[in-house]
Amino acid sequence: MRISTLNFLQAPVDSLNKLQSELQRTQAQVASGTKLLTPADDPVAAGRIQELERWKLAATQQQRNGDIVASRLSLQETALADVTDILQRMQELTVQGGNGTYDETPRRMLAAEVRSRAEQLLQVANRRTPSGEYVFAGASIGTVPFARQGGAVRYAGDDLSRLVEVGPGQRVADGFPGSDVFMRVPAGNGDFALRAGTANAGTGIVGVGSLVDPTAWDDQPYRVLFMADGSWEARDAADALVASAAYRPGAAIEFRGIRLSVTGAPVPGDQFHIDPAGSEDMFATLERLADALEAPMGSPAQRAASGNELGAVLTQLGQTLEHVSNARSVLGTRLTAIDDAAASRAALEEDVVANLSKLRDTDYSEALTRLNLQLTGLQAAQQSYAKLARLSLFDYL
Amino acid sequence: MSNLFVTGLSGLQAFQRALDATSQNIANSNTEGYVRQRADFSTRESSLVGDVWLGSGVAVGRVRRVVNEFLADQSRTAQSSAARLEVFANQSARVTNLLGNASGGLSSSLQRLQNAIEGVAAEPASIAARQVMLGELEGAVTQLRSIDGRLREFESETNGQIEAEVSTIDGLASGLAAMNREIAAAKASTGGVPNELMDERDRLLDKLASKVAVRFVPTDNGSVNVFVGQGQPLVLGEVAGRFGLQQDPADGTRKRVVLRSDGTAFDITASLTGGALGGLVDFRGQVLDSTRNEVGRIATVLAAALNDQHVKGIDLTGAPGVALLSAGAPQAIVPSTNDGALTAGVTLTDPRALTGADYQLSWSGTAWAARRLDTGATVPMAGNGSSGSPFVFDGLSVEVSGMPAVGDRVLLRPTREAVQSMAVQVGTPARIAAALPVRANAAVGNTGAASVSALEVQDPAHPDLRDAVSLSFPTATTVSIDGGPVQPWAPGQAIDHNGWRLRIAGQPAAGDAFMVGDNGGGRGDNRNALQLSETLRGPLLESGTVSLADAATRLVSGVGNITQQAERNQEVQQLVHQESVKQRLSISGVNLDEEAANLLRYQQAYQASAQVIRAANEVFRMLIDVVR
Repeated sequence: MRISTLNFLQAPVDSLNKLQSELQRTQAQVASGTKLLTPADDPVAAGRIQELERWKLAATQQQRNGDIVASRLSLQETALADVTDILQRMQELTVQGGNGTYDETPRRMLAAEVRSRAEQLLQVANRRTPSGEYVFAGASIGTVPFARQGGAVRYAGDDLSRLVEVGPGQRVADGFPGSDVFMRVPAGNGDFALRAGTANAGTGIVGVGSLVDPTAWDDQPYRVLFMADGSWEARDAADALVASAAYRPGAAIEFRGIRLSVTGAPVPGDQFHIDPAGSEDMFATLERLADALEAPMGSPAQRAASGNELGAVLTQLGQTLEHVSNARSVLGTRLTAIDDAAASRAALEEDVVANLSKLRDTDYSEALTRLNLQLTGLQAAQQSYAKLARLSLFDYL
Repeated sequence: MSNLFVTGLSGLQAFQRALDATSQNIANSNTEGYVRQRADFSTRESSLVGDVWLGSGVAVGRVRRVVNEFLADQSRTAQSSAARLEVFANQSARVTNLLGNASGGLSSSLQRLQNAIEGVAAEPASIAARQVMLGELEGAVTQLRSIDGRLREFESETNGQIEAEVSTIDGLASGLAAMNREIAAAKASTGGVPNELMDERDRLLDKLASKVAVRFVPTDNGSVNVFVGQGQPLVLGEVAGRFGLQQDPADGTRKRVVLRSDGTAFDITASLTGGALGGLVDFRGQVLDSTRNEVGRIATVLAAALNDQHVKGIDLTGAPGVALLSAGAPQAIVPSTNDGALTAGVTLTDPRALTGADYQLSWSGTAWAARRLDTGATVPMAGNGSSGSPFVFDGLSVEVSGMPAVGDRVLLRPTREAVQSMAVQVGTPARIAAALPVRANAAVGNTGAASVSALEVQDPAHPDLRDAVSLSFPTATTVSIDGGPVQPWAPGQAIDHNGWRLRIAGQPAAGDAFMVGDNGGGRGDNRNALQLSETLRGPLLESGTVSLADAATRLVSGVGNITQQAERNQEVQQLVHQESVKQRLSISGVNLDEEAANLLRYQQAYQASAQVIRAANEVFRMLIDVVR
């Protein structure tokens, strides 16, 4: 083919330009350390990089949130440890109070301690965070959650517990509202509560009682009434007879799937109430304990009433301790969940960083090899151009 | 004898011409667009001397341009494509870099906003966390506005470049018309055309081809007709159509390309292809407009979704939440070129259904039809366009009133101008509504296992929303609201009242109760912040399949893809163009070695011719001597 001189000299210059721009590109990749100089170099990788960067950003916030939630959970956990101490001391006092050798004076001293510990419990329940938020008020963090009102303690907070994101799609509640911890303690043995009649004149003392057949139990109030002929009768709320048998101290009294036993000598007309388990707040339980310890101990009937009440309180305290311990184990589980989230985040982070580097960073060995090749190519092109450009027939004329 | 003189002289004259052509070629070997010239030799007519036909030398017919019109045409077509792709790729690359810059772009901004909302959810009472959220809202808005602002700058730059190209093309067209006139005149008077005039006209045609794709048709009188777009005449013989710009009746910021002839202006913007002008027009239509629309869609949906949720909450002072962000409304434009009298209005009904496209409604004489401007697809519409029953499609509601004439149009730009007026509407951290206005508590004495599983606000404007309401369960399967009639209920069944919706899970016991009421004291409540975060994270676009952050990422990889394609095509087209130029030059270009050889050849022939004359002279003298 015929070659025009203009083209003969221009075409190599175009190639030189192209080689130089490629060389400049490689140089920029080496100098900046990133192989994606613009998203157009690899649009798919550019999109993926943005996703990974978002993951990293989200991870920093989840880390921060995890720390905040963990500190709140720890505050509640500490408070509940204090509550546990108080309740255990209450159990000791209850057992001491049941000691038959104690007369009224030592019992009054026990009652005084109970009352002061009850105040302490109230303070724990009203504890605040360093920033002044009430720990057990739900979302009403500015409201004093627990206050005495006419002898009883009322809850002024709410039932909300905050959910906070600590991992991708993982939300953890940052604590319990005070109502759940202090107010909603299951009453009695968890299924039903036993209570001696206030007018009982005998020395009958009721035990803890248990549920033997959950299918037969219907969650209704009943009472066991002692008759003149030495038998007992179980009656429902409408006073209909449910069951009846001869009374023997310590023998099981069974009806509607529950079992209880009475010791001592109840007199005809004495009764024991079986209430379906509702809930009882901790402060009320302590109040009952103090009242029982302050009750007069003159007659056998009064002793029996006190024994019945202290027994019921002891059951309730056991129930309360279990309730608190359940709450503490939930808090512990949540703290573990936060740790687990942090651990899996750390593991994923390595992966993400490695991925990002693969997508974005210059592979230096490859880039430098390429740079050398391009340099060699450019030099060869320049040399050949210099030789070609000198060729002219006119030189020989 | 005289024949010898004549023949020798004709050789001298011919080779002088040939040397002239050669020296002209050498002198112009570096002149762009120069076509090499060649002297055509032919033998002169023989004459009868006695009974012998004797030759009478050589004649130079003319000095001819060595050109192949087919190759020239091919290289111009290749040049149009290459020039278009070069402009398109360069401009697209700028948009790509803008969207995917080092700071992470829009996608990172949205994630930081998400983080800040989660931060408020973790510490709803913390002013610092709320301040961060306001800052990130501001950051996202600034990011959107700066992207849109840069895109607008690109647009006005592009418009400026279009203006410059159009005026260049107009100048080239007039130049071609003038050239046609001179060429036709020369041809008519002398029968031939000066080579330099032809070269000059080819140069103009080359330049024109690099500006816009054109088609050339040569005519018998030597002039050439030039057509653009779909056969609209730019130059007809000695007359050039006026190529110019005219205000777009549907868009105050934009001009369209028109060709004026006989006092009428034809809009040829849409039919322009190729060349730098075609590249600019394509870039504006295919990259710039759609990118701005998409950024606007992200802004519109971000504002609508966050506002929707935010107004359902209450702030630290207990006051209901206000709109967090404002964004520009959709636009309905009635072009001034319409013949009828029309008014049109468009409102946003469902941000999730927005497509990011522009639309055109047109009146056929009996009905309105909607068409997407990016794909050209017809869009089915519900309603009849009246205020009672507006047209509803793709998340928009359009009302058209007045008397349309056949062919009248309405242009809809749902998201294009959303970003420019975007602003954060909440100024103080306390005004962030992280809490819900109502809360539900179980009565402390409840004996059943029922608990509140969810309480959400459905109608934040309900007048009794925050009134205290008690729910009592006379039995495990019935409920009475605020002492009202006892109605059947099952666990998990929603209870709607006063604009809220409550779900209670688990089995209540007979006599259990729940209270719903004002959450004024709930400063630690983060439920609305969580909802805001879920909203922002959620699939808000494409009928609930794409999240905002994904859309932001798609935007980058989408434009990146277009740019990458254009750059690759440009490389290929560049090679095609170079190859076609090489082909063209292989015919028309000057080769200096060839010219050097020619120089020697013609010089020797000239010398030889001179020798012929000398020989003739000597023969003549010898004859005289014999006679003397």
